[in-house]
Order: sequence, then C-alpha cells, then structure tokens
Amino acid sequence: MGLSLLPAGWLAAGHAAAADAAFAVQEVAPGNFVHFGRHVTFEDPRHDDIANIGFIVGKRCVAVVDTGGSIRIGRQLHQALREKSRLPICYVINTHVHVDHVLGNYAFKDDKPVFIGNAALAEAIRANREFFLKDYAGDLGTPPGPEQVIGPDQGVEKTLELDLGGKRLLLKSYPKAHTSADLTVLDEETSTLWTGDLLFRERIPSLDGSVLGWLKVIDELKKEKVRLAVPGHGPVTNDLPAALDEERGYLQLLVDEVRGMLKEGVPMEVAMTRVGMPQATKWLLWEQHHRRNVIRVFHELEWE
Amino acid sequence: MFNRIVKMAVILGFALAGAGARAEQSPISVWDAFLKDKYFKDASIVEDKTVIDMTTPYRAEDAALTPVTITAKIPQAPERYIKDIYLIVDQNPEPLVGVFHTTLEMGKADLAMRIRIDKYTNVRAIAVLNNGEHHMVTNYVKASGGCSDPFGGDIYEALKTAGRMKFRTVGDVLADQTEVGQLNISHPNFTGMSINQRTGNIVPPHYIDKLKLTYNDQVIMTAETGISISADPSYRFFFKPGKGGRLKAEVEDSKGGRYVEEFDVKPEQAAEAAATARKS
Repeated sequence: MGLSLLPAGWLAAGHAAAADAAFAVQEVAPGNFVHFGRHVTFEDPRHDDIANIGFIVGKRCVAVVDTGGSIRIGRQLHQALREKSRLPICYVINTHVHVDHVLGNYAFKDDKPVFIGNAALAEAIRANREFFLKDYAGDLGTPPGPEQVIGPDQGVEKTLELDLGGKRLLLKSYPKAHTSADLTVLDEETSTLWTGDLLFRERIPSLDGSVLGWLKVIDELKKEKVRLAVPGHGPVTNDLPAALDEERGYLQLLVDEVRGMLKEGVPMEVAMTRVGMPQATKWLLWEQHHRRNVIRVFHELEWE
Repeated sequence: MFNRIVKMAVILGFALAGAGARAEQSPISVWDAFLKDKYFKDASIVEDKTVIDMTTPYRAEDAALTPVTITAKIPQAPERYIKDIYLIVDQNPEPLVGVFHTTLEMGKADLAMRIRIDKYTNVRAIAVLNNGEHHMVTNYVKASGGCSDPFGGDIYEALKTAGRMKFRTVGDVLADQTEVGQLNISHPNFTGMSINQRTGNIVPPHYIDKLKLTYNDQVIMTAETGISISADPSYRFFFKPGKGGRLKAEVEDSKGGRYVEEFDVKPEQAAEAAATARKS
C-alpha cells in the first residue's frame, strides 16, 4: 500500500541493492570502507555476518580492520576490497578476539599482510582456537584446521602508528574492557575512529572483560575528538560522546543495580531477572545477551 | 573476576575432554546406561517433586556460572529428613558436581550454588532420605554456546586470594527459626582442562573438594565437590541462628590447601551481619 507513494525508481534501486546485498561496503569517509554487520543472534544462519568490518585505503597499501565471522565472509570482504583497490594489503588489524571479527583472517593469508592486534590478542586467540574449531567449524574451511584461526604477528602494547602512504593510522590498545584484548584504529587524515566492540550501537553491548574497565575506557574514548566513529556493531556516528553515553547508560545501570542487590544479599539468579530493566527496550537482542551481562557484572562486583 | 578462567576451562577444556560426545544425541541414556549404576547401584529412585525441586535456567547464559537452586519440599524432621543431595550434570566430563550431606540443623535442606555447564544436558538432583528413599528431579538445560574470551590473567595471581571467604545472613529469621546463610569462597577451582596463557601448558586441576559448615560446633552440612562447581564458589543454605553464635567454614582443596574461617552471627542484624572473619 505504501509502495505506490514511493518514486518509481525506488523499487528498482531496492532490487539492485537486494542483488548486491550479499555483500556491500560503504565508503563512510574518504578511503574508509565499512561492511555493516546484521543484528542477528549467534545461532542465526547469518551469524558470521554480525560485525562491522572493513578496510582503509592509502596511497601505498591497504589495511583491513576485522574480517568477519567466517572465511566465507572474509573472502567476500577481500573481493569487495579488490573492487575498490588493487594496492597490496599490508595489514590485517583485529580489534579483539571475538569470532565475528577474526574468523575471516584466513581469507587474507595469501596477501601476506602483517596481522596486528592488542598485545594480549595472541594469547586470546591461542586459548580460543580449540573452541572456535569446535563450535564454529562450519565457518572455517573444509575441513577446518587450527591453522585457519590466525592470530596477530605483531602486538600493540600501547600505541602503534602505521603508514599506508598518505594515510597514517594510530592503533591504540586498552586494558581489560569489552574483552581482554581491545584495540581501536584511528585514520588521522579523515579523523575516523574504528572502535571495535568498545562501542556498540543498537545491538546490546556484550561483556567479556571487565565492566569497570570498560566504563573507564568509555571515559577515555569520550575525550577523542573525532569526526566519525565506526562502532563494532550498528551505524556510524559523528557524535562519538553521545553514542558512548548511551552505552555507558546501560553498563553503569548494571553496575549500580548489581551493587545495590549485592548489598541486600539478592542472589545472582534473582538479580538476572531484575537488573537493567529501564534499558530493556533500548537495545536489540536483549533477550540473548542481557542476563549473561548481569552474571558477569555480578561476579566481578561480588568480590569488590 | 575469575569467570573467564573457568569459562575457558569449561568451553575449551570440556571440548578437549570431549566427554559425552557420543551420548550427546540422547542425553537421557547416559543416566540410564551408566550414571545411575555408578552412583546409586541398586537403589530405587523415584522421579517426582514431593521431596525436592530444582530451579535452573532454561538456557545457561554463562557456561561458567549457571545458578542452580534446590528446594526441599519436606522439613528436616528427625523421623524423615534429607541426608544427602547429589547434584549431577550428565554431559559434564565429571558428571558428579557434588554430594551434600545435609542435617537436621539446617531446618530445610535447600541449597543454591553455581555450576559449570557447557553442553545441552540434563541436570539432576537426587535426595537420599534417612529412611533410604531416593527422590530425583531432572531439568534440561541448554548451554548457550556463544563466544568466549579466555583467561588473560595470571594463574598465580588467581591463586593469591584462594581461600578468602565471606559470610552473611540474608533476610530475616523465618517463623520456623531458620535463616538463609550465604558463603562465598574465593578459589579459581581449576578444572585441569584450561591452559596456562604463559606456557601454553594445561593448568593442573586445583579445586575445592571438601566443605564443612558448623554453627556453634554443630555440623550444618558437609560436602564433597568437584570441578563442575564454578570458580569462587557461592553457597546459600538454611541454618538456625538461634540467639547468635559462630559459623565456621572449613574448606579443603585438591592440592592440600586448607582454609578455615569463622564468622560472628547476630540474627537481629540479619541483613548487615556481614560478620568479621577470623582466620585460624
């Protein structure tokens, strides 16, 4: 019914987009190409296409930032990259250890890039390899093998500058926050910050590291004066502090309410059903991730 | 704080162990074919909820920290009371989570704790009564799968605070003179299946295997526990605070560690009675 109100070209454009929807990248800032992940669960058939991933093109070479949740998605990203640039791929940067960001690494292996991540990422990958192989076998090659889960060649302790030729990237590592090995990538030229999962938008933040650590990192990130931020999940924003405030709103509520319940002696299983409710309608996939976040916050604060 | 250790231990470690992989298709048969005989031999077990019930989440959101609450349906009366509770997770590499020897001193044999569950599995609580009756309640729990983040810390750091304990009472003394006590024990409870991040070697098993709770020198509960108890074990149980007194928790781990703490209990200050610990 509403369709008749749309301009004639709309429908056609929509079809074209659907045909391409298999894999699209969008240039969100000059030389910064993002493929936006879908807000689906880890059980969904499209669970390998959850995260925002992409690449940054300089004059000399290209850096990939996260590679998707399967070798298949990694290959599609590779192909999309090759449609934009023939320059060598010098770096593959991973913002953290989660499957939806790293399992596509293998698709870039033949380009012989330097794989880079937080100094703690190598350990994290090594420790997760068996788990990835077992639970995400279908997202690897046929047959799957441990060599297909690629960790970093180079670890970033604090910061690292990379030169792509006319484009300098500033990589920054953080202490335990969303995970134990978070890292951000700043394209200084366009003032575009790839936050990895330190920033979630629309999709509910998921906690694996430390909620108190994450809150500190949020405060740190709020000081960044960037023109554009690419979150790990959800749309880009030109108001990073506001987006971080939304995320902080959720995490701080968890901390405040869990602390209150710990004080009263409310057990974890009850806290899981009570904490955070004012935020329930603000986030997608709440049902899938919220209770787990409460458990983690509860355990972290229990021995505070 | 330590949940990532165990998470890894559970997810990665249990994967290494691969226990029950064959049985996964028909979880019930593991019990029938194997576990029932192993732990209960010829005992006749009634599957009903007249003696105990159990609450578990439909889905184990965090494989390393799954809350389990066992509720007694009968009071601990001398003529008929629950003397043992077995908690079993069919698909865990070590299915027996623990055996809890409950006493008349508890008033009610309710128990709450957190356990490790990795796979889709049946979880069973079996109550053994003083008269020999066995009653079982079985819940099916879906493991969430999902993603993991391994332990990035230092296992030696994790062991530094091992044996620290906290005790408090929760809520008021009830009409039957019972009150809820909550004991938290700091301990990584290494399963023996996780990996030392520094060396890449397996971290040897190191977990709490014995627990004894006494109140004013009367035994409330003793337990033998294994690697399926979550890191930093947390127990809730009933006891009768009376006019107050001292609760003593004695804990032993699989490497010979022994930890004892005593706590003052003042029932009139129930909620605030975090109690002062005296290490002995």
